Amino acid sequence: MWRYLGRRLLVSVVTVAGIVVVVFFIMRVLPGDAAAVRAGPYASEEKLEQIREQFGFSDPVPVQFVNYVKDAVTGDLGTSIRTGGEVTEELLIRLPASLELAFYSVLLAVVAGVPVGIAAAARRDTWIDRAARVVAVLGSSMAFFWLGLMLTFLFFFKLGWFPGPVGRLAITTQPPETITGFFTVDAALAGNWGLMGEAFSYLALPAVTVGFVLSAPIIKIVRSSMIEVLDSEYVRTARALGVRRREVLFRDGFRNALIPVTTAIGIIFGYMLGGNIIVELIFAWPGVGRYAYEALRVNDLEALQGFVIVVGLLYIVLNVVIDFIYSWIDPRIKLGQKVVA
Amino acid sequence: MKNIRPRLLQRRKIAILLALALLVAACGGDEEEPAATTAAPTATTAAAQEATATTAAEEMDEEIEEEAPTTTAAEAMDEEMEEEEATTTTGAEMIFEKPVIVASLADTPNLIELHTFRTTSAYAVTNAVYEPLIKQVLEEQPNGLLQGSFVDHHGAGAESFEILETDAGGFLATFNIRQGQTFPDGTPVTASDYKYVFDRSIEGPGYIGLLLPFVGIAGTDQIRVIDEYTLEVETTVQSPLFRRFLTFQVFGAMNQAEADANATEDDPWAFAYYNDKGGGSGPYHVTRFDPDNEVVLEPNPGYWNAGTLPNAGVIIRPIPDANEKARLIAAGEIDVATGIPPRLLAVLADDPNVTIWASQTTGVHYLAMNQTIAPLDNVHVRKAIVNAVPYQALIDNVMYGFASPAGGVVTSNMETHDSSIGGQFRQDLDAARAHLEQSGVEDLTLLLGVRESRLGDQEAAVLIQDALRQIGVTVDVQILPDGDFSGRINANELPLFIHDWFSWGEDPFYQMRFLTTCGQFVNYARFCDEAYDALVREGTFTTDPAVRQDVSSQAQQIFLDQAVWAPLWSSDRTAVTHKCVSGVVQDYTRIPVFTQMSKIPGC
Amino acid sequence: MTLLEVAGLTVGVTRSPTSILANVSFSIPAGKIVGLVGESGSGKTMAALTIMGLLPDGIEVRSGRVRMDGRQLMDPANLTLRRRSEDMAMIFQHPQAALNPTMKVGRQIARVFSLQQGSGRSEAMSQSIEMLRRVGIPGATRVAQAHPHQLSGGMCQRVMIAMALACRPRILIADEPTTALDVTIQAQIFDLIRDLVAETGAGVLFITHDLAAVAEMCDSVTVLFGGQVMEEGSRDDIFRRPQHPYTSFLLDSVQQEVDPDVVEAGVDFELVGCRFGHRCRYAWEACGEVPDLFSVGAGHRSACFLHTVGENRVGTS
Repeated sequence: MWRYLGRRLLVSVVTVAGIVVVVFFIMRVLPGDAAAVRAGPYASEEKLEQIREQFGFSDPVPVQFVNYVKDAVTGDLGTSIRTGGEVTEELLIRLPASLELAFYSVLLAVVAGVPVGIAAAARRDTWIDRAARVVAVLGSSMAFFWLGLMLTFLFFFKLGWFPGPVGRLAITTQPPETITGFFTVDAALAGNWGLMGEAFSYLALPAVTVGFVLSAPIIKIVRSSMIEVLDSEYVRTARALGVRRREVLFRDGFRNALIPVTTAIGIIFGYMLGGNIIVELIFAWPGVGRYAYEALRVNDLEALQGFVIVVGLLYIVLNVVIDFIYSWIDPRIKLGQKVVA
Repeated sequence: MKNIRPRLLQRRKIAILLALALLVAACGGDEEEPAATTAAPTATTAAAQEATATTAAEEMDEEIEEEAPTTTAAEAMDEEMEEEEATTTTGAEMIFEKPVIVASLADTPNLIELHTFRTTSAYAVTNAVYEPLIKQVLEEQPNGLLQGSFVDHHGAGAESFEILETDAGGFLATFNIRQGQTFPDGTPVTASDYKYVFDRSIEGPGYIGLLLPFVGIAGTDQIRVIDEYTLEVETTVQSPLFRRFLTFQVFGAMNQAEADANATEDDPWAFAYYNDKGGGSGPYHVTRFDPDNEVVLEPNPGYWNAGTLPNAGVIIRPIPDANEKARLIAAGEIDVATGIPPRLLAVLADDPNVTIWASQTTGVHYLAMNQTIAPLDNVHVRKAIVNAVPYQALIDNVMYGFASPAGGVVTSNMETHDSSIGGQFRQDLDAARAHLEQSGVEDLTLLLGVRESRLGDQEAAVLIQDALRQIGVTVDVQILPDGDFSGRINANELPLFIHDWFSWGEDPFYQMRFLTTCGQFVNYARFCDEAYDALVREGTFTTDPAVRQDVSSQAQQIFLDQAVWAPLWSSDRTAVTHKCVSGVVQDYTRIPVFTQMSKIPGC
Repeated sequence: MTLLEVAGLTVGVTRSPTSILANVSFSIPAGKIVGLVGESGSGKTMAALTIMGLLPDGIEVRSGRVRMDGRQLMDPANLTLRRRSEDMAMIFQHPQAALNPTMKVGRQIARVFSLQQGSGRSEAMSQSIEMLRRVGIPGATRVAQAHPHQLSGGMCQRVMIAMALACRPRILIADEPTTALDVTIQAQIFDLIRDLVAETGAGVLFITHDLAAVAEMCDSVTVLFGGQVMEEGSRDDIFRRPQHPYTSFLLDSVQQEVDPDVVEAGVDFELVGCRFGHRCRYAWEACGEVPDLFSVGAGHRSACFLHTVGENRVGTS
């Protein structure tokens, strides 16, 4: 297992290197002048040159690349021309917010989507199945921003059941001591249940917005995977031997159906890794998506590069974790070893 | 940047107790502007009281914890308040907690270094943190707005000042720096701190140095420290802008000791250090700065006028989506919002829970025509375009009435605006067609660039496109990210584009100089006329109102004749507050000011 | 004595006139192995699924009676079958596919014991290991911890048989149990089945298209084509004295003596009458009706109109 991990690590390094190279050179092709934005309205040519000099944009591109890589290897992803802050630090501060939202959104999508998909597969062509498919279609076709705005309008503005979209906590609330960066976890660790409840209440609407949309692919994949399993020969064997329908569903069906479902969960979680920009903007969520968006608007190259690299790294880690989950679910998969005939 | 997690609640308690203590102390004292004599004792009592308040608060905290260790913070504070009421022995009957103002501004604060260009909300932060030598006298308007006077100024960081004319044709200003005021860390503010900030403006890498020659300051030798609390500023010309400049936050005192301690060889003025920190002696200091997310301003106990601050601090929380921002303010979750688009303002106007503050400004939104790109070098083509633009429709349908006609680079609300000239900027499609014919240009297609961040500009572009189509000119509208837009206009790649400008100080010659004189970087239309430049130069350094008017009118005529821009509109500065919020201020810079804001009790 | 009696079983696709099985009848006596023979598409697996009550969605029983020990298994009112596992168990063609890939085989067998006898977890496990030994798997304890993909085809089939036996069935249905296995393993599995029949007195329905296996294993044979019973009789009857054109054709194909006159055209389910009609060299107008099963010997019947003309036209081998 350790050899396998080692090999994956090596491959990851190559992948990351590839990401860095591609991102670096693509960013330099983007039109736009960050120096002009930073210089503002009282700019002059000398001022622009000065700014470019200061941020290293006037060196020849290969030199810039070498300097960038030298710094990146030590964890220094450069300086944001927009805020003047360290990109690495700024990303790390915002990452937990996006990850926490991603986690709960995916959790909701799975908790809601998996049972619906199973029910649809078990009761094929009944009203349950049809309803599940309608929900899946709705989720696929719904735009995040519309759903987010509608939910806040209904549940905050009209009903007042949930707090307003001001961020992760109420404006005057002190966040908990940072241990994991997840407010829900950190508040619980500090024993502050009120704070934890508040964090959840602010997570609710954005997580539901994203979760609903993400549940659509989950429902579809669970349904088709379960159908495939339920039609399989080994399920027929189990039924032939007197195993009751319900037990067949959960003991035989579920675990086997999990494999494509795990892939789907990995994909949607990966999709959320970079932060969902639209949801973060609507709910004023202080995540990396918003950071990348602001950086993109003003051509803040170092911030954008840093963002892509960090998200790429996270994606690689996610894939390794998913592979381990596979090997745990499916005994046919032994990581790194050949299957014994 | 985030290593210290301030105990906001703890500090709130201290601030509130301190404010209460000061209120109690000031009770029966002079209600008008504090004079120099009371400043020193106020400051020392403030410091002493802060010390006692701290320990008192800590003691109370311990008491509270012993009594009921599971109460929440809010409950603890309520208990505290009750204890306060019980133990107060002075005559003050009404003890109320000063409110914390929650603000959501037009954009996200990106950095708060004083001499680097930053977003509007970042300017609001530095406005609260740095204290200039003098400030505008605030005059209350019938609707409750506190308008800064263009004529009367009072001492701020300086307790008194005198401006005399010199024989060399300039000004000599002497300032007596208020004693007893301190930076948040307790360091006293002296004349050297003011000299430091002027020097930094002139010699540092910031952009402010460009502005000072306007008022006749070119070298650091013109700023002189006479003694610890006396500062002299000498100018080489007598500009009417001199006083106005002195009110700007960018010339507020900076903690020289702190700056020097954090300067490096590459960065001798400590620009990097102040990216995320405030360094001023103003009414507030920054206790938490999370760019894009939150800024917390708490009262600076060393501020010379701390006693009159009607709020306990400000939390600035950007809300990126304008619809959500409008909902939040209608729901009372935020107290002040700026940057709400006119379309939503029109909707909010019907809501009894909010107040909309709209005041005219001298800013200008304009359609520029780059004269280096053919056929825009042909004055008849430009006149055709200028006559085709549907000015009133833009004000009604894009700005929903929250704008005035611009009428030129010297806008209709600006001093020396000549309405006989400005009034000629109106839509006349027949005249437009005639000009186009006269130009001899046929089948004209032009690219019109607008910024992605400016929805109003985008909507205007569509209306302009339609109007030009009616005279036979095809316009392709391109929405560009801000960085791209800036790069392209600098490189003369956009024939038509919509841009805007607002001059701090609202002076017509300042505005004309930067936007329309030869060779200026931000003269994106690349207009150049010797006679025009001469007029602007003359007006800049004259204080005679009759001369200024005459010169300005002549320049405006040239501007019209040359069809330099289609001046689209002059935006109102708008702010929305919850109905219970009072104390909205409007000064030269039109940047949000929090020092007078409070909430009507019992509202 | 007859353990299982199936009569007049007609099964079709829901809401469609097509019949997959038409009036199929056979019976299985105790301690005997009955062969159900036919090419693919003949309906033999469907017959087994029907009497097991495992019909997939979209297929329904139109008529028929199924009796076990004289007891009705098929509810005549709604034609659904309720089978108790101790009545019948089934083993399938692709043993590796028929086992749950993510569950250890020992556990899969143990589960059957828990279901059938209510054994606790560890008791069921030891029962399962015992059963593995009984079906001839060496190193049963280790094998019990393995997953199906780690075992050979033959081992998997033994596991399947173990699972089926755990039900202690009166009837064992073996659907092409050795088709996917090689010949030596095949022989072992056959031995196993014969031993179990001798030991328990169960009846076996042996479904296959492999006539050699039938010749070796079965006491009696029913020949199916296109969902219709073509011929039924003892092993001797079918192999020595085949009466039906289709049976001869099957036997001939085994010996590689294919008659060029007979057209290879699979099964046409739309055909009215005898389903072998379009491939039969003796076909004539009468074949547009479905022939009855005519008695052509003791316990030997054939469904062909040739028998009505009194001639024994079909050759012997």
